[in-house]
Amino acid sequence: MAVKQPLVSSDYAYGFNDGDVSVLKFGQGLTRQTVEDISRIKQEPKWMLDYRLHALDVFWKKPMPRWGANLDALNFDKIIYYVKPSENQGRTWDEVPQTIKDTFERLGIPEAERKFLAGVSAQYESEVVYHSIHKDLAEKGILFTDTDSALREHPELVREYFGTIIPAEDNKFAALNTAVWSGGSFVYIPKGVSSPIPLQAYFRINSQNMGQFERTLIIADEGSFGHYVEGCTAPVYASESLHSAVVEIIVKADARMRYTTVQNWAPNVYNLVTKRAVAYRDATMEWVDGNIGSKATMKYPSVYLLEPGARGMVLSIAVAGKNQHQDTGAKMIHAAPHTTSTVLSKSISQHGGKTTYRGLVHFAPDAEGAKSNVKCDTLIMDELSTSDTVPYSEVGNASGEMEHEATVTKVSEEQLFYLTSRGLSEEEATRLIVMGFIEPFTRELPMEFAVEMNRLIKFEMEGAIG
Amino acid sequence: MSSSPLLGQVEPLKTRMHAEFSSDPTWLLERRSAALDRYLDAPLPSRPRTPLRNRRLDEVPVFDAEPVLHSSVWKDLEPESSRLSLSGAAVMEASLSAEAKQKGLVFTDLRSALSSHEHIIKPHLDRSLAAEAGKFDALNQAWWQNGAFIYVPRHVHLAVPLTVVHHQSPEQSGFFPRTLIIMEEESELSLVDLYMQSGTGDPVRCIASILVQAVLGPSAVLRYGSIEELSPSTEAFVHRTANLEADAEAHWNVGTFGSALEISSQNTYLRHSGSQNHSVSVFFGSAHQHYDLEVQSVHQGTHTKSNIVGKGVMKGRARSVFTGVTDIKHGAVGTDARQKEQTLMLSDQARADAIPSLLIEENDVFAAHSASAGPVDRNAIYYLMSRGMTEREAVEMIVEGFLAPVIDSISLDDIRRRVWAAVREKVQE
Repeated sequence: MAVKQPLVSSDYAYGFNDGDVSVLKFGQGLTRQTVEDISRIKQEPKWMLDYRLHALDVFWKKPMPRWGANLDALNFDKIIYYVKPSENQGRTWDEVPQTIKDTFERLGIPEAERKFLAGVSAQYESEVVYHSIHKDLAEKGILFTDTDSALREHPELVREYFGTIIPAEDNKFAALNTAVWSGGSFVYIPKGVSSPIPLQAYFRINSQNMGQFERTLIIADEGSFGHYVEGCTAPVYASESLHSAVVEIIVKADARMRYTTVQNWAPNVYNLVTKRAVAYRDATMEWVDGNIGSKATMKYPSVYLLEPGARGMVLSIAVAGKNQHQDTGAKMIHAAPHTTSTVLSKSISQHGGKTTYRGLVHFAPDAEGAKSNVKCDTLIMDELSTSDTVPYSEVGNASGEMEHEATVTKVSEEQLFYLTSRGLSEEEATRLIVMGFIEPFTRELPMEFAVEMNRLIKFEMEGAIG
Repeated sequence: MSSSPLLGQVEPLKTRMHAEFSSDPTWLLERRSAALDRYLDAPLPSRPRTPLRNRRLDEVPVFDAEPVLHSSVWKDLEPESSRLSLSGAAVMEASLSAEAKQKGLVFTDLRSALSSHEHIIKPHLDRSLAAEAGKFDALNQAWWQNGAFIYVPRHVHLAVPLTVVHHQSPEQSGFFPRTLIIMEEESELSLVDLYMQSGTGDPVRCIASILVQAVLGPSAVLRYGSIEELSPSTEAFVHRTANLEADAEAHWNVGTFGSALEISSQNTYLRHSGSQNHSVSVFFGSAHQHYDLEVQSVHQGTHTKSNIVGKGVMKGRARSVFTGVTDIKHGAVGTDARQKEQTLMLSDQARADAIPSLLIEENDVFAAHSASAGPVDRNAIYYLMSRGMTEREAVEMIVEGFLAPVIDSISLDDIRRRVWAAVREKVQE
């Protein structure tokens, strides 16, 4: 017999909130004035203001997407576009306000920071409030800062790359982010340098109705290596929130970059994110992407493989619970010879949730000898839940090899029977099967993330089954 | 008749239609007239990968010449005991085995059937299309001149396949063949539709709209084959649809080789328990051919099965889009649905897109798909050439090896032979 109960409990585990500590908060709605004010407060150079205003026009002109998740309830007039929590960025842990510390405590940041994680850049609401760079990173010449500071301190680098991978014209939400972006991370790893530790940033939406528009720009120079880790939780609020990030990554020749996200937004957040990387000769870009929360997610990490030998990987899981729609996938654009890509996607839908895998593999005419392998597996846990798999493949030459496979099943009754015959309860057996199903993903996470991930799945299943 | 109205000329079209079909029964003329309105109002089919707006489809005349019949057209057809050959409205040949006649099977042209079997045709003719009828279905419904009608009574099994030749001379501009198949409980039928435009005239630009409708009673088994070998100046819109009662089976074997453009949809509705859909599509694109083929299986009944196979070879500057849609509705427990799509690329200028989608609203199911595209294996070519073959022969052999598993699984001898012939012709093109 099938297990009918949901995997993810409707009680949101991290749904606490600690009052509104914002110092400066804009009203609802978006006007030209909003954008000008954001830019003025941040004391930005004129080119950035001009770019924001241009993006705002693009945003207004572009229609809402009519595919993917249902965004009808999203009201742009009911969103606050900028919140600045405190006047100064905390330089040391002591300077960070206690309420914010309490929040981080519950998310497990202090341990990570105290132990060995140096590059912690924690985004609380729209500004980075706490941010420290470990000596090791600085000595190696690695820049790891919030994007606002980067614009002040490294304007030439930001200007050179900002908006080059994802221009404002790319899509409506990229345009919105470009117009009102705030915070996010800026990473530059110099030639030949390997980051000794993962670069971590925690993002968090706190204020009711507050949109978070972080902007992340990562440049891995030739022959370098880096691993950027992002995790998200947000408290439960009654009305809808919007998270619309833009992440641009440049991986130069022979470099390797990995970007890991474990995303667990509250079930009322619209998560509409554009993530794209370009990989040059023999470079490797890896996206490890977990989508567990949110009301609706539309997110398709992409790699443009621009020069021979470039490699792209997407490894993702999506878990959709009650009233949730995870519309996620991956895009691999092979634009040069002998480029390779792999995509492994695992989806779980339960308690009336819906997962959609929407992916694209494109072989351009001159991408001779390109190879791509895409595998999508879905578990549907109960009869209320649904799943769509919509992979697009476009093969434009006669030497590339493209393979795609997908399966959609329920939890295997044979496996359940076997495990329960060995003395496990049905709940334990189901959990074990689910853990095994997503193991290819959790295995690739940094250790502390894997632990958190396992705890999250376990906790949510405990709350729901039996 | 050089004054034929163009497909975009509203009033002249209406006038011409009433003149052309004035002898039809009133109900049919009314339907034609309503279909013409639907055609004129409906938007172009929405295929994102096949933009139609710039093709100026409405500048093609609906009929611009009298059909010219050439007896030579039929030469390559083998003598068969059960065949219907149509050219435009004309019936060129109609034969049915004595055995079939005796069993009560009806196999005739649609126009004759209008008088002999009006009570069956009238309710079925347009009903099963209603759900997804698009612009070019409506065009066919308005302008069809003739077609094939097959009625299989209860418990009748026919061993020999029936063949329908839908022919048109290449100097004509509108081609609207249709096939209507009605099968009663526990009947069994094999049917082959051949679409061809051959003759001595100079080909003109032609719009073809092809309709095939099948209604399968409980436990009926249909083995359907079709081959499209239309002229290179034809743009074809094809719609096949089947509605299946409990435990019925539809086996589709469809080969697409001709025309400049083909946009097709094949919808099979498994609304009742135990029904099955097995679909094999073989396509071979060359030169500038553009194929946008969609095969859909809709699962509503319990314990239904489907298997969609698409196998294509692309050469020259051809372009293909193959979309498989497995649509499992809520409550369709025990569904087993599979898709497999493979494309062999023979040219760097060709392009093949595959979209094997699964839309699933039920958890107690098994659904899987796989898709792949790749080149001819260079090692295999090297090996074959080292055995004394020319490169061309080696490629031909590899293409045959690629297609053999699906073509050889086609149970209709005639269609299998014809598919092989078409493939060989294309390879050598």
